[in-house]
Amino acid sequence: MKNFQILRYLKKLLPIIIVFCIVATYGVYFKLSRSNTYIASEVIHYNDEQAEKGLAPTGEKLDVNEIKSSAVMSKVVDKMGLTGVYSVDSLISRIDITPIEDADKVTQKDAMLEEGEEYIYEPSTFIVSFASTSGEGPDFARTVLDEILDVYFEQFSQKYVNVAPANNTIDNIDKNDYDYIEMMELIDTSIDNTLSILYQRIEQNNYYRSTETGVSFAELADEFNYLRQVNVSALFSKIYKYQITKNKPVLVSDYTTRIDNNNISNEKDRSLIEDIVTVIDAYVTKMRESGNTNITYEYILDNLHERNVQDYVGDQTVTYDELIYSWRDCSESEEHAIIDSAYCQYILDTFTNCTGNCGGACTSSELTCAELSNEQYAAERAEVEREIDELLNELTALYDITMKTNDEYNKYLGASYISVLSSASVRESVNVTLYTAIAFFFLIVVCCGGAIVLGRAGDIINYIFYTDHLTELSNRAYLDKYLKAKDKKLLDDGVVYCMVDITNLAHINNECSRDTGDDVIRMFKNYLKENFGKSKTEYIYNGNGSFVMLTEESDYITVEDIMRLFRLRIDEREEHKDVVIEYRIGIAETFKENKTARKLLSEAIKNKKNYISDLNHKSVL
Amino acid sequence: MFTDILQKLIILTVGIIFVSSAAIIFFRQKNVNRAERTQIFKTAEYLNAWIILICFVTTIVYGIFNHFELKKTVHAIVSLNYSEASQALNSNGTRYNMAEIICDEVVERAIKKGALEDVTVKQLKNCLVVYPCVQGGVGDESQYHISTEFAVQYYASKDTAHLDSENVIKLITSSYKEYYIEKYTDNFSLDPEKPDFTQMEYMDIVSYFEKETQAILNYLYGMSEKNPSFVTENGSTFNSIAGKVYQFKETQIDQNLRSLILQNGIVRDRDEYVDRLSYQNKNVDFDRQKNEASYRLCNEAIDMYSEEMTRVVLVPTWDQAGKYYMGRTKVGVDELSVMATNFSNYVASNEKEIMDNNLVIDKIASTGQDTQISSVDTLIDSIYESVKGFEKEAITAGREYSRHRMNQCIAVSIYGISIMGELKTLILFAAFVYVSLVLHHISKKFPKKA
Repeated sequence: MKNFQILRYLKKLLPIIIVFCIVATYGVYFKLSRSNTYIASEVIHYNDEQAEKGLAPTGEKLDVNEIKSSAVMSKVVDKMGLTGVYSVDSLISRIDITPIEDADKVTQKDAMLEEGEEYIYEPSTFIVSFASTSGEGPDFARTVLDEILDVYFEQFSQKYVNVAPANNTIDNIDKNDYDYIEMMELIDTSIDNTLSILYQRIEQNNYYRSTETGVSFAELADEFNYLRQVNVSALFSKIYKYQITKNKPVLVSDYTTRIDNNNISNEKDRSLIEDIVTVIDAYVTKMRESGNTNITYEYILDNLHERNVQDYVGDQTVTYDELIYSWRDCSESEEHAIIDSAYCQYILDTFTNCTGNCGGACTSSELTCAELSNEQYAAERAEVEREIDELLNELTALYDITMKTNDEYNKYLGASYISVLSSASVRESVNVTLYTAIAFFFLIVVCCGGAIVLGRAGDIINYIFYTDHLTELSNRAYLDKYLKAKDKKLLDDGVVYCMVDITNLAHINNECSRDTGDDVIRMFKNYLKENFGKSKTEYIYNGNGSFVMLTEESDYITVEDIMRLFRLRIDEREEHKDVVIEYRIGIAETFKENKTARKLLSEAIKNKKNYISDLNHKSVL
Repeated sequence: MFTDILQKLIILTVGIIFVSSAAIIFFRQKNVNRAERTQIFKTAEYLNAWIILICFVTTIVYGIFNHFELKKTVHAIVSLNYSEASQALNSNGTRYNMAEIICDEVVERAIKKGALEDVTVKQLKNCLVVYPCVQGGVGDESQYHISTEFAVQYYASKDTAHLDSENVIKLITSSYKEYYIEKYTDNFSLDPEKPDFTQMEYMDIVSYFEKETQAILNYLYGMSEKNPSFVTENGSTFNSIAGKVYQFKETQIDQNLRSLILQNGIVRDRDEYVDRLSYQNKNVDFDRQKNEASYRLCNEAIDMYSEEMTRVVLVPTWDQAGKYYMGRTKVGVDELSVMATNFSNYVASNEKEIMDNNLVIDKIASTGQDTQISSVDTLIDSIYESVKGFEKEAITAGREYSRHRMNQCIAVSIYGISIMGELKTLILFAAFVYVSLVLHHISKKFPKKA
């Protein structure tokens, strides 16, 4: 059997291996690219110190998963115009939030916990990621993530920082539903609420100015105040002066009911106040009896020392204070209700007042005195309606600016409470280049291994089926296979087939012995190999003492010379000198008419010549 | 579109020649032996004049189409030059969003600005891509990176093929720059229209001027807080301009104009204005009553506190400067005292407002007015002009500061076709054509039959 030579096995299949590996690698690349996803990631950090305790600025629990809440995502879908294209849930499922823990803080926490002390630490830095498919591309992932965080920053600020919104409560107010004075009260209340919110904002950040609207909260407050001082008060005074109402009986009933409600509320408040006073007296008495009123300064200081006063521990209002506050609140509610009743009575007096111009008819009429007697009433009423419309338009425009300013302020606060440590970067979920390279090398290794295994298996098969065990040369089956393989191919120029047959092999076997016959065959093989030397020749033992040499890149004369040397070598042999060997040699070279293997072989057979090697006599041609 | 098809057609034709020639050689190689094959390749005319001529002509034609195709693609780099950009913020402190570079508003603005025809916002937006020039990672802190340079790429589609690519990208970037400056840089809203003072009550005009001057002062104080030492080209600081405005407000508006109107009882509609002030007084009085009640109740609540329940001690503590002082423990009485003081202030404020209104009512009732109206009107016009002048001065100073601080906010560079890139493509294509033609020429020499 042939020696185990790796290069020999590889050399044969190398082109196929390379082609197969390239095609298979492209297949792997294609598959990986198609199934790959793009992941856009951004690192955000909550700047508020409460965040490391897991709390939002308001003291509520900080829930980072709000980033992937449907409230945020639905806004993102709207903003990007993806409604109907993507479902909110499908986008939410692509978001991933990974906390990044501060190693120092974690060690500190572990150490404190080991000591048995309480230590709260929650990560305040997070990686927020969004995945897109290969079809959607990396830009989609980056854009969606940007939008998600934009919306989240704003919502975070709205929810946890800039809590009170300055909503327009008079937007789309239906004038048919309200009387003039009620409508003006609604407008006045709305302005009042807005102003108190704007003053809060001014207190927080006096110089904040929206770059989009170009106004600050202070300017907005001034605008609302101006409208209230000029337009609202002018309208109120006109409505009072001309007793302008849509329906006097309904108006009178409304304000009378309000007075009644105030009276009922006051009754309740008075009862509550009495109860609270009783509780306060009982509380003080009990505290006195139990010795809790004899508190010394040492006791208070000890209490202060026991608590870590450096840390704000929330509201520490005691029960006694709460009782006093309750008394004050209830009393205030009662007093304010009395004043409100006085206001309602003032309205009732204004609208039921009779100037005498109507001749007293208004007292029994559903119309006011001015409506009955003042000729200008209708014109003034129309004027008031027009002015209310104008005021509403002005207020709506002002509210729009307020909302825009507030929205920008929310974004500003959101960005100041949450900072971006690393802006959106996109990476592939699978490194296609790396995995393709790995696949290529893996395929090369597998294919080369396979080639070696196949090559060695081929050697074994060759040895079992296509090798003559006596001469260790290829056998007749191999020649048949060879001829069959060459059937449809043309031979190159310089191919020379040579046949050597030991014609009296049977005689040698019979006369000398079978071993001698085998020895002669082996001797022929050796001399043939020796003489063909390094020429590109394939040796086949065709059985019955017949050898076939298939030589390439040679010519007839060279092979003829080789065979002449071979004959000389036979004649000068040292072994089996007593044996007379008869043999035939046939040589054929490729020409135009015999370019196929079978033709060339039959030509060689045809060209055979007889030789005898009898060392007792001279070799005869 | 047409050039795109022709360009692809040329590549396809050359590709077909290459593949068919290679296939012919492959299938006919069995008809010749190795020596003949070698001979064919050795004797092939590699410098055949026809091959070189066809190769040259094809490359030139391809080059022309390729040039037109390349002209469809152009990109620009948008750089953020202000300091907040390195924190991924806009210059107004809100979060920076790269996608805004090609948002609908910017694209719409670009279409309007360039008067681009037969193209919709959606069609143009589909041709634009924006991405950061350098992006970091999230693996560890060393990879963190905040992008401040973004590439905007435009590739003409069949809907936008009629537009000049470089013009489109210029319009997009300049529109974005305008959009950004409008939306994110320091801004001061101007009252565009002069109010009709003849329709306004004189005291309302005073309020209007106060409101306007206060807005200018707020703007200047805000800018001064950002950079108190900034000096404009005229040698002013925000504080010096604010000082001028404040002085003007105090003397011209609060003293001269108000006094002139008040002392002469000047009013447009006496009855209506007096009614209005009376209403205001009535309304403020209800508020005063409520505040007074709250004040009284706070005091009563303090009185209710039992002496035994309100022990306080002095506690050593430290203030914000880190210095020790003796603080006292805080109890409910303290809170109520603060509340009572606040309510007392509100009551005082309400009372002042009522007294102010009463003064105006009295003056209107007691004095004639007609003599001074013309001088008041003149003063109003003069003040209005002055206020507008201050407005302009404040805005100019603010813009100067923005320019100085943000270095124009955004810088844009546009990159068109690279000649070297085009040449490289042409050389590669010429080589491809040459190989295909030579192969075709050689394939003809392989016999059809053995």
